[in-house]
Amino acid sequence: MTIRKNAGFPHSAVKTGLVIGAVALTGILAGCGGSSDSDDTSSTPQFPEGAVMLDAGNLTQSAKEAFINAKSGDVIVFPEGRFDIDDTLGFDASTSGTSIENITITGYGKDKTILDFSGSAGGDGIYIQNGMNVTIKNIGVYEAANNGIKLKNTDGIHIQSVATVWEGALDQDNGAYGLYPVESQNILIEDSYVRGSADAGVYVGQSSNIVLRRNEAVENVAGIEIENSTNADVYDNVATGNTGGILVFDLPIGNHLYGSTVRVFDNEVSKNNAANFANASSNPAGVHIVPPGTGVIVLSTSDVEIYKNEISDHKTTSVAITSYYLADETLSYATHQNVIDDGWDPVPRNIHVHDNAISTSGSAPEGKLIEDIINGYVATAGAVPALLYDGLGELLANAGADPQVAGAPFADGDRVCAENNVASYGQVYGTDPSNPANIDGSGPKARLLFETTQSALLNCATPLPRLSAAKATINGKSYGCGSSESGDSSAASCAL
Amino acid sequence: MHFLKTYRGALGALACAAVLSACGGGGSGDDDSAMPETGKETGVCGQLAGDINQSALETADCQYLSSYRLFGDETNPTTAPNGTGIPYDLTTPLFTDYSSKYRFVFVPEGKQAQYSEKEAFDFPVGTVISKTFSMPADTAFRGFKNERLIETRLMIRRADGWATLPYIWNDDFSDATLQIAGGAVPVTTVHNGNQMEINYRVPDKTQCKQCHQVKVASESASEISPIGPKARLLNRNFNYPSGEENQLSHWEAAGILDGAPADKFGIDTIPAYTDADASLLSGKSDTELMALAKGYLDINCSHCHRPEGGASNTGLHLEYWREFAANLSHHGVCKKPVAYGGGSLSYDVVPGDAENSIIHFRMNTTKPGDKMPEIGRTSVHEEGVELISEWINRGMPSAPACTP
Repeated sequence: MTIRKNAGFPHSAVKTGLVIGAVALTGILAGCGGSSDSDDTSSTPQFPEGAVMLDAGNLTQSAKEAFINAKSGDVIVFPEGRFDIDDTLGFDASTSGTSIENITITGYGKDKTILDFSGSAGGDGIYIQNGMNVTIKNIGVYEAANNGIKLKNTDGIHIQSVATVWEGALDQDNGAYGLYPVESQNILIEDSYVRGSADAGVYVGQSSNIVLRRNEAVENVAGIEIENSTNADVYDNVATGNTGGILVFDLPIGNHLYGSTVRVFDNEVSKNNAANFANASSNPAGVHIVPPGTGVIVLSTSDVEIYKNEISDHKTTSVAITSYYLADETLSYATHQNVIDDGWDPVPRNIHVHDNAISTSGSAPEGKLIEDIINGYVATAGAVPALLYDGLGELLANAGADPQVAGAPFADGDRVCAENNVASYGQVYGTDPSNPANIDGSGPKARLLFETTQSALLNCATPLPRLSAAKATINGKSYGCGSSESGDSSAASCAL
Repeated sequence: MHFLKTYRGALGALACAAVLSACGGGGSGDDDSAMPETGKETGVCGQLAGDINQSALETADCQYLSSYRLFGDETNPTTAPNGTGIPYDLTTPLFTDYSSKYRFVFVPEGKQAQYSEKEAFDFPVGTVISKTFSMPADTAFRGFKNERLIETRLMIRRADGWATLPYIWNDDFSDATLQIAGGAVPVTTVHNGNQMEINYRVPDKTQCKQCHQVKVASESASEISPIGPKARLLNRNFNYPSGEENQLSHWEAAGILDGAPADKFGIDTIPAYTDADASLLSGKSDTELMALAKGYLDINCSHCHRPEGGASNTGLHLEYWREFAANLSHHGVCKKPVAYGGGSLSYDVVPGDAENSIIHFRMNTTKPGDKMPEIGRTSVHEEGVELISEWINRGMPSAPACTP
């Protein structure tokens, strides 16, 4: 066990010397208004009487034993310093016939207590299962082979001021997800920092009732990803220096859990221009398809509202909304019958993009998946639109061309609508099936529609209703815009 | 080997007495006069009543394996179980670094496990399953005399559910001690003439449940369950001292199993696959190969990779009974990974192309984060990889091609 007392600067992760790293770092400090400074200089945290103080001399074993012997209400405290951990630290709240509830796992600060898993025999850093009301705060998890902190089948997750970091060069061998709740409910992630993951920094999958706020996602492939989840609010976060900033995906998984009702608002999404360093598999919806230089992507998910975000400096596009047809050319009922019968819908409906401040978009577009689209737009319009909608799923739905997959023709409430975004608009396919320029006997035809300022594109006569706010209820207390929480420093976002 | 004693009835009475005593405050030193103790532990773990220490099994996590008195020779947990213990084997075992495994089930006198067609049998409170892992000096010459004891895992069915207790054998192999945090045990073996250095890992108590968990429905609790004692894995002959006999029939005759079908041939049974069988794979028909591969995936993967398991979120469902042709995606065929960001490959299984299949890749590595199963092995099961390779390359001719 090596103990390195000097944990160093909280974002010492950014030591690669990459220009983008330095820029991102400056951005974070400016962006978070010094809040991380106050964290760093705060006095020694107070822990309740009876807190389980772990043994720094044998931390892996001591932590494992504390997790295994935990009783409801335990506060488990990792010591200050940087420690090599030998194995996944697992906590299963339901091992002894009774459920262990309300566990807190904490350190002395996300930059002061650092668990280094680079030599671990396990894939995940911390893995929590079957829990009820789990709090993790003030701790850093570094260099996990697979995921930093994974939580599965847990109702009530409060992650506060936690860091998951892969240091050094952005590498495909970095771990997949930083903060990773999956098949869970009532999730609040706030004031946390994720850097360097080769998939998504914050990844909430197959879950519901989700509040993500004031997190900093820096230099991951995907900064923040909401996948196959319902009732999620993502606000007041910073996503910068990633390949793609914020992703809302619905993937064909086949376990009955599909997404809807996701709101992304009042976030600072900037300079997400990092080269895509994910593994280059041909998985149609892996994050390796994310075009470098993309702000926000909605893939297949319905009922999504994106508003009042600052989306700036993306070299490919600022907001992309697409059906799964674009991600996977083989999409058909034959290839996806199981998941379509299971409830998956590859065509996004009821998407509302409004009042976003979009600037400096499309300066150097790239991205293998949308190469044809990029080249087409550059050739025909001289630019890639800042707000890009594929239109293909809607066209096929309206044409009744692939009803088992694309679903019924779009009603007004199903549409993709945008307003008050100062940006160029583009739509790859026209959605009116009666227009032979859009579709004929030989199939749909790419139109590469483009408007420098919005006119007809995504212009809905019938305004879409606002989506309802999300809340996460943990230990009887509710958090988020959908709650009556008081004292939330991001409350102003809720009023937008 | 005396796994069936003739004085079981008397033992049961003694065990009952011990339980009552324990409930009445056994565990304090007050009982010294009435209840003699060993020198090793005090309280219920130190009691000497009964052939096995049933009251301790049901109420206490003893520090020493010997305190439960499960075996006639406390330094040899591979033979001669006390009490009602019966040894058993599985048709095809889960791979654990080429170790040998010695399994015993102890069902309390007069009680019975309930048969299940697909799930692990429902064992009564008081049941103990003991599984000892032991590393041979050379895998060609197995057997206690040629092996080094590593760990003994107990699963005990208590009133509030199954408890999992990992015991690691001490340096002089005189006893094994409870290590809830698990541990690393460096061992060596020779396999097919090749020396292997293995940093064997004993799972911690939480990791026990990582594999041994079943969550029947989304609203139900996640519970600990045995994996091995299922009909499809037990339905084979075992060489008992009394002669060779079908294990399920033997359990019925011993009075510990209720509800099994009379016709054991009608039970859909996983075929045996041993390391020696790897060299015979080219001679297997497609049908045989499918059954072998699905059996291997069942015992090695399906405890997690099932809707009720720890990997429910992956969409990969590998139970033996799940029909392949009607569930291609659940078998990984042309299925994209859901929760795996590593590797450069696209699909769990690419029919005809094992080298480009993620299942093959993850079985064939020892790198944390990439390897599957995630825990329970630190080396590659070459013969398992060969089986799955053959299955993917040749055993699914009617499966579609994956088109990216």
